[in-house]
Amino acid sequence: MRLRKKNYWAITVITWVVLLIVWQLVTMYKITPEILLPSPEKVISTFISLSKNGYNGIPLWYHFLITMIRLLSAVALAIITAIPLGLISGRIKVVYSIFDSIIQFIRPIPPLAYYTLLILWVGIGETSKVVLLYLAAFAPIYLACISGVQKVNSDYVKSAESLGATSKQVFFHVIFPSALPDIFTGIRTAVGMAYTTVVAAEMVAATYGIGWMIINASKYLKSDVMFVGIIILGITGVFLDQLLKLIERKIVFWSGKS
Amino acid sequence: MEKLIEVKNLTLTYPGASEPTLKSLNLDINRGEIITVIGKSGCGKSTLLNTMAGYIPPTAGEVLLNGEVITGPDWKLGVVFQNNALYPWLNVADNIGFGLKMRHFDKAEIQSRVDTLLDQVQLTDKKDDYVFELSGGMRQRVAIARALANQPQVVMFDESFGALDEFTRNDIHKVILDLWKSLHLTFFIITHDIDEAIKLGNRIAIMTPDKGLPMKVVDNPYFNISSEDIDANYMNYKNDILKQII
Repeated sequence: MRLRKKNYWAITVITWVVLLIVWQLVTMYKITPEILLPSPEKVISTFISLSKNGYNGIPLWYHFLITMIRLLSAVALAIITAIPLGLISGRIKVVYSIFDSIIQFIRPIPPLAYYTLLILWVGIGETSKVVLLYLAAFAPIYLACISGVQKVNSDYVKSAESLGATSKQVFFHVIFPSALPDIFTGIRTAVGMAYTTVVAAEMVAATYGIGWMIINASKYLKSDVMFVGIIILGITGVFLDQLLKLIERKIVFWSGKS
Repeated sequence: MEKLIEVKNLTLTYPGASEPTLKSLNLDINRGEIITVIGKSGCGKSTLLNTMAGYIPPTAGEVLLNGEVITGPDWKLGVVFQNNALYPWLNVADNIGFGLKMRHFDKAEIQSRVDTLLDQVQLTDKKDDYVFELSGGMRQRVAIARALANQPQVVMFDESFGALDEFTRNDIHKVILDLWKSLHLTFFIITHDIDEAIKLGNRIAIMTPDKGLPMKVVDNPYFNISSEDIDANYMNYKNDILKQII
């Protein structure tokens, strides 16, 4: 069954309205205790209160800003380092042989497993948090770059060589733009991976950040504060993904059209 | 006639293959002619082009351009691919000027050559369009213009019109023949379509499935034939070629 785009949007909106109504009804009829599931009104009033008074003496916007700085600086670092390394690994077998097994080894390990080691190695401050998020974001971009390079249409390369391009020109003018759609997919996955790691990064030795706020609130069973934190992270995650999709559509405008 | 390309005892065996794909092939291409190569799928036509264009080093033998051995891809050897291999992130004008830009021509020279070629392939009004906005025939015209921009000594076509419908293919044939006449170019055209080979080739090289047999090159009395002139003699000539390739 095919619907018009507007109708799909309507289904999404209706789904969220239904979820809100169910949430409201469950809390109104006290099906679950409020400590486990606070009502929507309670979450909204907590959000307003946190916006006015902050949490633990620190403004809510500051918690949010710190989390975003940690997240975005880690993703930016991953972009700067994983793209060149991934592109070179996809093109040069020796480089691939050196780095790929190391990255494949680190990739499946849960970040919390090595977080304590990171703290011991790089200190308890901001660096360990950013490095943890960086490690989570690195592999998806690196792997996407390799995949992008390996998928480059061989006729694109042959054609460039026959037109007089040097190996360096082929790399920058053909391979890099060809791999861009995959690179963007990798960046979007990396933001998601770093995002899911942000609470873990703020679990240890932090005194601010949305992740820290959720962890701290959980210790005192402040489920309304936890809900505010989770909703902020959820909405921001969706917003960041949409923003990346928008940038992707502008930069990789040919993707899916050729 | 001045020899432009000489294929001498060319043999190519792919790694791991028990039989050579090309065995002791010899072929001379004269400057200013169109030579078409016809053969069944899998007989080694594209392998021959890939070796002549410098993409694959031969196992034995050599290919000479103006008496010099071809050791790799070179701007003097233009190639038009079956799937056109145009860059979707560049517009039509930038695709055509790509080779000149890589070779560090100045902007004014690039623009001048691109504008001339756009006019010759009748795509001046599409210069700012992206290739994904063009029809299949237009894309092939851009690919031809791109190969010509470098002013190569020969342009090789690797079954470049196979994916086009008949009407579009006829248009492209006209473009090719017009360019050949006006620019005195040398074309090497691989095709699996006998009518196309006869229409476009001054001479026709026939690749047989039997690797032991030498490649036969025949003169073509029906070069640039129009559909109205097709008669029984043409059909006999075509059938003769067909018998040799199957």
